[in-house]
Amino acid sequence: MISLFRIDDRLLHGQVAFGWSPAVQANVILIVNDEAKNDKVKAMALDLAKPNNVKLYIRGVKESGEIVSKFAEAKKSNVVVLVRNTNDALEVIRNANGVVTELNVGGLRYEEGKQKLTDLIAVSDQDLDNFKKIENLGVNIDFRILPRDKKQLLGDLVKNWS
Amino acid sequence: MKIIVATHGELAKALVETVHLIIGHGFNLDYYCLTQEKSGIAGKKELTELILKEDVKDLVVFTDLFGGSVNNICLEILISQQETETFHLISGVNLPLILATIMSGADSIEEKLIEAIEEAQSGIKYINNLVKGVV
Repeated sequence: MISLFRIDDRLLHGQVAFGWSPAVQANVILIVNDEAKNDKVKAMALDLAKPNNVKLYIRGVKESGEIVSKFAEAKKSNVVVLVRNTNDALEVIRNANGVVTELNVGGLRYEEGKQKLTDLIAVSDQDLDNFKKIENLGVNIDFRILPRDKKQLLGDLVKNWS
Repeated sequence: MKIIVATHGELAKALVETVHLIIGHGFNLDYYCLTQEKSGIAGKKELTELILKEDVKDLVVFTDLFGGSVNNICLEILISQQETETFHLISGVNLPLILATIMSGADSIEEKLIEAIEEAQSGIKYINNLVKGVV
């Protein structure tokens, strides 16, 4: 099953390894990122530093929709899926046969031209457009850095979100 | 030898200030804080600059959390380094680790670090169990 589908610009890091993974009892982490997939150094570093007892996969964006839909049926797997941005999230969710119903947004740090929603979440118009498309696919979006944080919804963060 | 303490939040700064409080000055000790609002990309750029600008013989980097982003970034830098320009990366920093590394009388940097890691680990004790045998 898919235990967590998360947008996090740091991908796999302390909050995911020590906060989320134990909370959802993850035994599989799927990093969906073309750059990480093609960067041997990054892949090696991520594999060395992954949490104990977790199997790590690093895959490209194109192929991952199908991988996610397969993982959703694997009963013994508790899978954490990590993507870096909203474009990648949309593409994977679209290609995953409707198995993704919850999207957690954990970190989208500020870059120039983006609008700050919280200290750790900044979005472009493109991001908002992607969120709308993701919602229209029947996915609930929540903004939480850590599992015990209060869930915030787009309507709480963006004025006139409907 | 130069030591860089690199952590999440402001921990590294506080650790370094505390080291100075306990054993004073006169050694090469610097810190890097990856605060929450910094992106991983900015962090990598800054840490790479900080580590690669050093031209000291024995550069030691202590990070806070194995599996955390600071250590992940340093690990990437370490893997991509030439053998000749490499540095020593140790995760799980605590105060005794820094103190023991600075105070160590061992000859080589490897020996210093092995000794200091042992000392840092043995400083973690469940004190109640010690008390049980005495009182």
